[in-house]
Amino acid sequence: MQRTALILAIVATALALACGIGPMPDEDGNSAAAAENSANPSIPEFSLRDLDGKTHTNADIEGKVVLLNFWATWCGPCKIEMPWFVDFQRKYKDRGFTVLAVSLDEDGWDPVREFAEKMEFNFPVLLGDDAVSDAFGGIMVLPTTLIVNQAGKIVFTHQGLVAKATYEEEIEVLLDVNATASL
Amino acid sequence: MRPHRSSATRLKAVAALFALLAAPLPAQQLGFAAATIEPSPGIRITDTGPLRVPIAVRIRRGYHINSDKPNDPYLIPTSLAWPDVPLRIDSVAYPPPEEVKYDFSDKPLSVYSSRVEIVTTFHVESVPADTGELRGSFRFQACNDKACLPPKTLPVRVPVRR
Repeated sequence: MQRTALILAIVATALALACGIGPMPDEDGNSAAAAENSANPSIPEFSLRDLDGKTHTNADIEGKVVLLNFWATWCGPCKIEMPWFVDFQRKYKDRGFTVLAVSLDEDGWDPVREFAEKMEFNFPVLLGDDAVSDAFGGIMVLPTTLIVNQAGKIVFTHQGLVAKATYEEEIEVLLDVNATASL
Repeated sequence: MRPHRSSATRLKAVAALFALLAAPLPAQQLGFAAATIEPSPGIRITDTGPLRVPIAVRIRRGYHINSDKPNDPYLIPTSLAWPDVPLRIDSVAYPPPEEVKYDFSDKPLSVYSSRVEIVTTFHVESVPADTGELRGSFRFQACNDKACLPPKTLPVRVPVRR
């Protein structure tokens, strides 16, 4: 019986490794990789146009805390978060914060523009594609939201809908770090 | 002396294995599909006239896909298409949708879940001499109550037997 249990444990481990089962998101959609530490990955190079045709690159967000949200007009849970992001942009913009919303709509600007106007977005809305998704490690679930610190490191990663308070807490923490450092 | 292992320890190891096997895979894993097409047993074309071809779709537990007529213009409808089939298509009949209210929507959404069958009625004008395959494509977009997966198109294949 001992031998059987050991074999089962080995099989379980092998299956886990073979299936690539990594850290599952917790209740707030956090993965273990999101913990703030020096191993946080840097945000990939990007160059994307917004609704007005302006190009946004990494240089535009240098020194800022960024909520980078991947979404689509067909994604119901994404729509819940959008009014929160409008609030965050209003509340934190003057403290070195911005939201960047990257739409992964396959039909291009038409549905995105209409949706953005209806929701009265006050932050840049960019249009992404598979290449952008791949650059960010393969965005396969929407919404996916990355919270990036002033050094361009991805500190928190969320897949799926999470609580508004979770985002607020994370943004505040990163903004406070900057405030403390500048004293 | 060999260490003593209690039954509880052994049970924990077995339970861990079953928990692992039963755990839902993260949606972002390659190859994950919230909906799959059941393999068709095939059809026999023995006569001219209407030919009914059901296609069964299984939807992963906890997920839904939009119906063929979602009640939100931004949502992507489920569709079954037969672009290259040399038969006249009389109708594609989708099942009645469920109206489900999710936390993320203001109003109930028109969706499918669990298992649904879409029935295409072709019109056979002449009985084919050879066996072959009807090839179609099934497009859907799936969500659960917290997140959505990108739209996906699956191949549909129905063997034609003599």
